[in-house]
Amino acid sequence: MTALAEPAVKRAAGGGLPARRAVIRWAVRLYRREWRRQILMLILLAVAVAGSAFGVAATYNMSSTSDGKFGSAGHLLTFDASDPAQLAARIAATRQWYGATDEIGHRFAAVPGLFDPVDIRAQKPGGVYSTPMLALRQGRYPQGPNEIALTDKVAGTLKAAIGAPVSLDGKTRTMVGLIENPSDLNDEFAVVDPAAADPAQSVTVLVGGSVQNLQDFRQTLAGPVARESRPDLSRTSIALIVLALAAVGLLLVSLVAAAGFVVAAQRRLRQLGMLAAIGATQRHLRLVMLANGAVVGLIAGVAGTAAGIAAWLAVATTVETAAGHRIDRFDLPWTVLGLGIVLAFLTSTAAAWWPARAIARTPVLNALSARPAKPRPARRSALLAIILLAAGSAALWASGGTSPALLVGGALATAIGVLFVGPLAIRALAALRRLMPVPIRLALTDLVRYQARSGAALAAISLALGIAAAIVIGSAAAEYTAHREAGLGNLADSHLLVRIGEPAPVIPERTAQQSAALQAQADAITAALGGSSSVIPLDMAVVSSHTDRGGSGQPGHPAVELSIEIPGEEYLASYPLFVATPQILALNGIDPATIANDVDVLTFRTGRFQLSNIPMRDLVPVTKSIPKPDYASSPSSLITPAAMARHGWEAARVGWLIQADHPLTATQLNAVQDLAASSGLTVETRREEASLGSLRSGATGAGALLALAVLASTVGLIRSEAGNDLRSLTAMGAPGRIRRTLTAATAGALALLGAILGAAGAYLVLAGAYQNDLTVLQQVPGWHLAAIVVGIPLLATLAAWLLAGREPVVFARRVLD
Amino acid sequence: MSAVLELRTVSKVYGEGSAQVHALREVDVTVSSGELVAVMGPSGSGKSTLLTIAGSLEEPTAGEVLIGGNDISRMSGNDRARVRRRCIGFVFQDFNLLAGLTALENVALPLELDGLATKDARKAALSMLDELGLGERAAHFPDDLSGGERQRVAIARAVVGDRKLLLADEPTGALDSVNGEMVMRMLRAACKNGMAGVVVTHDAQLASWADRVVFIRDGRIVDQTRTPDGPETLLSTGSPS
Amino acid sequence: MSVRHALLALLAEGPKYGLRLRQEFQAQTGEVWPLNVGQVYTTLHRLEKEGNVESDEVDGTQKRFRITAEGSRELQRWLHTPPDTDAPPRDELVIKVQVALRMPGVDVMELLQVHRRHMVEAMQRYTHLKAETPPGEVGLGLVIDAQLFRLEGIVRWLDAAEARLRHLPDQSWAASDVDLAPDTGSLRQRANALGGNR
Repeated sequence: MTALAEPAVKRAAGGGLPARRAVIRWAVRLYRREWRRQILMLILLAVAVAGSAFGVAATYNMSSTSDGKFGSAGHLLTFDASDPAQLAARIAATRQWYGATDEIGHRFAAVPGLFDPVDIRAQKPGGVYSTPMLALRQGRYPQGPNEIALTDKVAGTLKAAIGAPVSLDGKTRTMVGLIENPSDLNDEFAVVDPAAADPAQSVTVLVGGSVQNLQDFRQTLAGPVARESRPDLSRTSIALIVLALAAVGLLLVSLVAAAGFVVAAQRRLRQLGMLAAIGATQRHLRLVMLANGAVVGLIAGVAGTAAGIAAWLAVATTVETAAGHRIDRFDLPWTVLGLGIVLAFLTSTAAAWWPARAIARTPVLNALSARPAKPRPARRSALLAIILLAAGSAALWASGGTSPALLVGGALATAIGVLFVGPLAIRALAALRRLMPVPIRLALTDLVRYQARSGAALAAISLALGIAAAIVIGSAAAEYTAHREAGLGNLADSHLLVRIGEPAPVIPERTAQQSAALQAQADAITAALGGSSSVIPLDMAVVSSHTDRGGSGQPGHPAVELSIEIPGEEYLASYPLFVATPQILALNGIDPATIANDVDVLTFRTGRFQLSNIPMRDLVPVTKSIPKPDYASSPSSLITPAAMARHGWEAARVGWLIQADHPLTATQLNAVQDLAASSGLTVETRREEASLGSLRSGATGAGALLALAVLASTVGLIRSEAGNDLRSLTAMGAPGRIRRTLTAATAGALALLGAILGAAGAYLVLAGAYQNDLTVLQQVPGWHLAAIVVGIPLLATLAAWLLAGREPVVFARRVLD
Repeated sequence: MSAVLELRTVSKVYGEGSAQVHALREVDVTVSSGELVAVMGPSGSGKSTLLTIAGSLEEPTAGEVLIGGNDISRMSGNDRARVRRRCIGFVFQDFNLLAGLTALENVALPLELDGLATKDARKAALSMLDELGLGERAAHFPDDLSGGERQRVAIARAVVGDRKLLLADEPTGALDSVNGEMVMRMLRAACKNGMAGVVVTHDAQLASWADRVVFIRDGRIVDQTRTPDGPETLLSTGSPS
Repeated sequence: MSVRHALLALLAEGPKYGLRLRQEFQAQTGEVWPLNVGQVYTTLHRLEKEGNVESDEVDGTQKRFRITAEGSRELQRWLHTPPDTDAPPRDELVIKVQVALRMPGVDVMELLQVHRRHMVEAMQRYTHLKAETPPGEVGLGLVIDAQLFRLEGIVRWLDAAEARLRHLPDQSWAASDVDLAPDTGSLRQRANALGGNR
């Protein structure tokens, strides 16, 4: 018998490449025919991809890089220039060691009315490494000893313009250009021709090479050398972290997509049965759905990425100020973005895998007559649900609320576990059907009958509502925590905190004249507020015998600070100490008479204290506990005058707390900011706590929309499949009300189960994350949670009731699809 | 003439316990190449089950199903799929073609599934469509074909590529008599060219196209026609009045 | 009898000789309906006597016939008269089955199957003839279809009979004293009774 003899042409056993190509071709054609039915999935995926692409593009460009400081170099060395011979030797040594170097000389020039001195840089435009740090915006670069270029702010302060003379550092030069540091727009400086510059006070040398190389070079130099290396975290790795976060989101979205693919697969059951009848293997059948998923993923990936990039290009120019550096819109991490497309492709294909497998296992005859395989007993999915929930909870618990890997893994396992509870929940609800009127009973029976669809839809709905619930509950908890931390906020709305310069541990030495000028500015600010205001001067204790150079290079005295050991860590947390003047004691409601003479420090903080920034080591102060102030920025840790007298410390003015008798208006605040900026003062005012209420409303709304969209597609499908029942009912004389009730009950039941499962899952995950402080979860965001758990089911029921009455569905019409 | 399809004491039982249904009871059928056999019986007689078991879409509860001498009831799913695409052609009552593929692509599909290069598969498919007078409709999608044309494309797909066995389930059920006759002429021609054919039907007119009619009742073969004499005997049986 | 009318129809195309009429008749009916020369002439002479046909003498050996106005009218009348299909059920097969129902020891199902097989075999012969006839031969096709539908009608009656008997309790028809074989008269009586009730 030779009937089964192998064909003359050698062919692969499973059909090989031609078979796969034919199957994929058919899958793509099918998708082209019915893409409208899968539009919801496509949009969901595309939006997720667009979000991640935008996030990647934005973080890549927005994240402050070290380019403003390092240019394109890997390290910088700072040489003191007080000894010109040593400086010249060091620069020569550096050049010899590295070959290519880039030197920038600095001189600091004090400017009247400006707190920080202006940094005059002797910098060559287009240097080997420093190119990203210097760009010309207008005019030209200076040449010769009599020309200078300034950044806009410096020019503004000096009231300089291109072509006009500028007096700086005791010389008068002509301003020839307007410059900037494109990598750090907040860097304010002046540039002169390095060939004709005055001797520098210090020199920064930019070099490349490895850290080891730098250390080897350091060994060859004698004396102290300040050196700094570029931080490891590159822009690309930040973008990759964003992509990783987006991947988690994409994974969740793909679970929703899986629900859609189940529906698509069921629609195609007969066609797939026919394909099996003409000899396709299970692998080929799976390939049909997988190819569908891949196509959706690819389209969503490409379209989403394009949309994300387009959105980025549209907003890129407007965010430069916020970013603080020039942004090249088209400088995007293309590899990472490409990775995003691949990720969308993979997750979508993975989402299609489960329905593909189920379809391939359906017996051919069942498929040919479009009978889906019998739903698997709920036991198995229940078992899986229990395992996943247990594993997820364990991981969440083990994370201790701190380990990100365990938190994310646990949250994912719990989320998927909750999704697998779906079939069980449907059965449980259906068990109650005996008590219900006929239409509702029918609707619940259909939910069990079409379990593959209703289960997938339920998963999608609980996911959408679960994420919304998690955001609502989580934001309420976070807000509660923030409130508990901050009390009533940083300052009262009638208070101003005026500081001299930025808060820094070294307080510059000031002449009496300077101090008087600053006091005059503070008085001017007080006057600008109008009404009657009280001014409380703020002083800190300084060790006058000890002189140090601060961050700006100016000499000053370090301020005494309160340090607290942090258990398990090697460093100390430091808090400023203000001198406990009677006014400040009154502000804190402390009676001076209650303070014993041996008390050094008054604070609400607890822990093991010591005083720092002083010549002595391990000086443990005598402390007295005071109540926590209402406002976070109020002086809350105080040093007693007695303690200062004991150690010979002196008071130095650091600022003023101004208390107006009325809430400050925006106009007043603007006037104050202007006054302060011109005199080197910084002003702190009440920051409005951005309420997270709008975030909660947004999350609730988005979750509701997503859930209703999933409901609309699923309920319509289940009801049209069960159309025969409906037709018999109509034939038996059931009124149109029955149709409405059936549809409304289906939608309502799915929405209710989804909302309950989603909220329960969200609480489960958050309980793991907040396990150390479960009280924060007692803050129930009532309205938003009620909207999710009660409002959305009601809305779904109502919408289904209204929409179902429109016209009888065209029954029993089996199109060739 | 060699036996292409052999059912040996094939039984098929659906369900369990009290809900048990015996669809086939120890059925023996042999179909040789060049022969068209009709299986005739009322609905519920088990004739469709016989066809699906012969076509490896279902497994028998007991007995052997031999196609070309090989027992397919012992084969793995993938091997049976290979037998289907290489040896068996199906024609169902309706819903035969895959939407989204042209007539030509539908006919070429089983060849491609079997690993034939797309170009060669299309060439073979086109010549088959030409042979059946459908060459001009090759580029049309099923939606654009009439019922008769769809069924003829389905036959082309069932016949293309040297298949051995042609299985048809009420192939003319959804067609008018002219198209039905055309379809049956094609099936008969395919068998005359060496295939073994099985048609299951309840319709005596359809069954009468077969070389042999097997009568099935309650899952059992109860009778079959003798191979009919030539048409000349008609004239001697007396003229109709 | 319709041979008369078939000849009239052929003559309606134009005057024809007797032999030519026989050839055309056989061609149209696909040669399944043999007709001898004598039969043709007998029929033509009867038609001539009735005034439906007239003939002219040519060479004294062959007559050429042509249809008269009376003949055309007769042909039209016949074409539009319904055939006598509403004959009472005096079909031989029906009678055989009815007899078998009354006879003990006869397997009626088996009997039905025997007849079914005969009918299907006959149908196979006609269908195979049709299969070997080019679709262009309309005349033969019509005759074969007529036979096939007639035979199929019988097969369907057999199927219906089987289904009817299956639904009775086992073998109860044998002992039944229901009038299983109503004669023509009783059928007509019932029909009239129904009509009268209306």
